[in-house]
Amino acid sequence: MYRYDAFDQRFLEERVAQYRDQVRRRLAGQLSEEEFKPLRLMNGLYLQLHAYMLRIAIPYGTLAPEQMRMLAHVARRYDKGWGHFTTRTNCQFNWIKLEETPDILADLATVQLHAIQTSGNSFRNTTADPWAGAAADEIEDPRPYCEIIRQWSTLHPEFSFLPRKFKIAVSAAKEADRAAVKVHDIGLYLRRDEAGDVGFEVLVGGGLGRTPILAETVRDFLPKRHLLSYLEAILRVYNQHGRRDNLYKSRIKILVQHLGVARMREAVEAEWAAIDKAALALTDDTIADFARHFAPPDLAPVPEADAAFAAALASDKQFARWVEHNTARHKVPGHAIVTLSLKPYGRPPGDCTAEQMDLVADLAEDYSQCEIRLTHEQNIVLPHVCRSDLWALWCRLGPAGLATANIGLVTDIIACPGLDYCSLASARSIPIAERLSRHLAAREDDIGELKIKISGCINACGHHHVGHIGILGVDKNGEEFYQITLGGSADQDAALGSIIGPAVPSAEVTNAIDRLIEVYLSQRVAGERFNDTYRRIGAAPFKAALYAPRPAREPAYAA
Amino acid sequence: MAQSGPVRLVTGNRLRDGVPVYYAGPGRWSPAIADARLLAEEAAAAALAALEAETLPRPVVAPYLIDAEIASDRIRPASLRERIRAFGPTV
Repeated sequence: MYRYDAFDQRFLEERVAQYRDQVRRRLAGQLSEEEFKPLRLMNGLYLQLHAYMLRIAIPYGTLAPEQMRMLAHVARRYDKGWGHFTTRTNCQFNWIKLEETPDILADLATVQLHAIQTSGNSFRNTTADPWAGAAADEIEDPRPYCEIIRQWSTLHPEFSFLPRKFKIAVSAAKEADRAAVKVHDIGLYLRRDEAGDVGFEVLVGGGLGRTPILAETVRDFLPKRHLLSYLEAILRVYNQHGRRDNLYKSRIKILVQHLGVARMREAVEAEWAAIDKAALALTDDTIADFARHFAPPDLAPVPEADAAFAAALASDKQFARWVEHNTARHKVPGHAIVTLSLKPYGRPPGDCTAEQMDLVADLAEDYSQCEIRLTHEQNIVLPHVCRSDLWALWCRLGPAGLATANIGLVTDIIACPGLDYCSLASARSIPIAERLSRHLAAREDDIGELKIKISGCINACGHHHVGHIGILGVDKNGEEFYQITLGGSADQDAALGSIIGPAVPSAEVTNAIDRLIEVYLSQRVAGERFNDTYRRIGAAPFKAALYAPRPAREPAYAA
Repeated sequence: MAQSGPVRLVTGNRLRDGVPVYYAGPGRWSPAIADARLLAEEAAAAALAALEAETLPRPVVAPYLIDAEIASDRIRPASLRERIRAFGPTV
């Protein structure tokens, strides 16, 4: 993985020293909150309901074992013993004291982690395919390009005052989108042109929040040497024409919607034509320099037939179930991509204790070439595990609560922290996720692939718009209600869910989801997933079941 | 605490650690809502204005008024958000 050079490291240390002085002046009363707030936000520090929250950037979701151990250290020493992994593949700590934050950032800097640009109207963490470098279906490893984007976009002087935050995602292939590319301000699919050269399809103007929009393609094929000049052209158009007068209309998606994609494309191409492309061109040598940091591990192909592995599968049904749901085929025969579920039944999605973090670091060293990835679905990936090690690996997961075999199933729920922690939230997310997980666990194998995503407010950190079933918490006269959307997807078949009808009260959410699932189970034909059935039969049967007359003693849904 | 019914009080987050605290009288802030000074409408606005006019360093970030009620001799904030702030996450 990428390692800072001496310049990067010195910059980070100077930045911590600068921040330490800012905190000292704030605590001494030399800075007001108004003056200090932008400074702490530049360092990822929010003030939430119960304490400060520190959001640490995990660039393209890639972590080394020593970095994971440092997160465990922060959890133990400065928080309550756990952290929370987010849909932006960042790590949040919820119980942080302002007076300790300079020490936390100094500790993080020793392993090249920081919280810069995890807030504010800046480029946020660039996300990528968590299977990068391991998936058989990738065109190329996207991480060298993510690192190039990270370096270009970190403290970029021209773009340090954007109209609003800006998120970029890079997928290793268009046909297998594991990075939710179409809901990003800029989405990049690695692809080949007819000549076999590698470049990017460039999409612009996606996003969730109160105005969900899927990104549209502005360029079918961009040669990779022009990646930065083209990104710069898009950002210049946005920086110049994006709205700064209205917070709700300030994202690039609103600009694209306003102009239409054709005029947006013209504007970007005109800007690009005027840019000095040579100055920003990525030479083959430059790309190779970055790629060296992400060289594939030296994995020897192993025969697929493995008697011991087959015997373990046959002898332990729980192991077999975990292998079925939590492992995927690696591009090198005999190896596997392992996903560790952070969705234990009935517990908050995405939370990870210090002990679990330490174990994951150990497992990465023992079995996965020292590589750890985070997913936007709030799970952890060990990308390079030999199949013959799966049994030993799995045996160490159970005692730590990390063996839940539910990846992609109905209990693999995304949820934001919601009103239990977040000062922006309208309603709670975690208790809804916990209830649904407990309730649906016994039937999850029968239900199959079904992605439930829960947000506690319209800002959509829980990606509810792209859930097969999306759940959005709303406040109706002081009561928690939940609006349900159906048919969304964040994958290669990206779609925004449609609101099915009036919101349901908190106590009714489990019943409501049950009714929707019953429709699917009774209507599905062989091989259909929830979304397949929904797309075939439409919303009407689901709506009819959800809003069927109810016994008088059950509460009515809100109008 | 002999009274009952709606009241107002001043809350904010403590600067040094972010902990929710409640105004408990001149120079006093408490993390326990039971210690909060209960204020009538006009007195509440005046108390908040006085706190906002204090010179730096102030121990509390961005104090504001919330509604609460007294029931069974306990202070209960009116909104779910403020109940979660006062009594902790529900999970």
